[in-house]
Amino acid sequence: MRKSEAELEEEHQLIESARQDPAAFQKLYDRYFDQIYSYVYYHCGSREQAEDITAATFQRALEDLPNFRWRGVPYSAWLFRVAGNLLARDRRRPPWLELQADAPLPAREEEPDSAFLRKEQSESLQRAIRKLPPDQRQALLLRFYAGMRNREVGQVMNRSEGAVKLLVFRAVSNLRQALKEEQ
Amino acid sequence: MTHRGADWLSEAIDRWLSGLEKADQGYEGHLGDVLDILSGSLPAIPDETAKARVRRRLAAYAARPRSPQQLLMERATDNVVRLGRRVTEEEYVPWTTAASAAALLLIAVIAVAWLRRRGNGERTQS
Repeated sequence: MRKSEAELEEEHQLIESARQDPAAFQKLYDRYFDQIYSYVYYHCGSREQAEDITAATFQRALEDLPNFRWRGVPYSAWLFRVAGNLLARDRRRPPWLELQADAPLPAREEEPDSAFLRKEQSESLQRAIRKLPPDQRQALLLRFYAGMRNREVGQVMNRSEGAVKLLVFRAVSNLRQALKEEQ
Repeated sequence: MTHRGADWLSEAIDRWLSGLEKADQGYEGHLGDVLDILSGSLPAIPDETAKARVRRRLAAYAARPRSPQQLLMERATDNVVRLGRRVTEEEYVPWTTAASAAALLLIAVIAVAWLRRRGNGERTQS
């Protein structure tokens, strides 16, 4: 998911066009909707909540567009940060209910047996991810799902690079433990 | 050990992200199994209905750009939250830094003890 200089420049141009004409924001929306929606879904396990938080994230993006300053960092990093903050705010909102996964994963074209095994593993893993402490879950998803480096995750989460390393390490260790217990 | 493990794991994930090799290389029996599952278990979940619904919500939404003062306040709040995290939660310190700090502390303790002994020795002589 790493972007080349040319891709970053293209993204910069897209943002500039959207600043001048809000209708041009559509391209950014189309480009990032799936990423943000899936990221939020992996956090909370509910399509309804994922949709709400994704909508709020893009609303915020529209609001902040006039003040947005390009720093050569992918726009998705900023969107992930906003989505993460909104998720944290949502968690603090009482009453908090642990939501169960309500959507099957997209089917993969594989042999039936291995597809079934893979699906089972994926579902166990996603259940385990939802049980992780929020910070560990966020670091893990940004690293594995969004494909970010420690430094980038640190910028999104407002944490040091070292803290991110440790969060991911603990998340992976906890996942391993949880998967063992499930077996 | 945790910090060294974190460094190791981080390098393996970086190699995997760069597409150079599988994430679990060199990690047999040490989290490699989880990395292997993780690397294929988080696909994007396309949801065209949700995408269309959110698009309609955004179209109906009249954006209210925020003032620089509001943005400044937001940044200040973020910094306070960040500071809170530093104080209340464990912040990672690389093991080399921790080891150097421990060594320095030990040297300082030894130096203080030696100076005290020397001071006591000089007092008894006089």
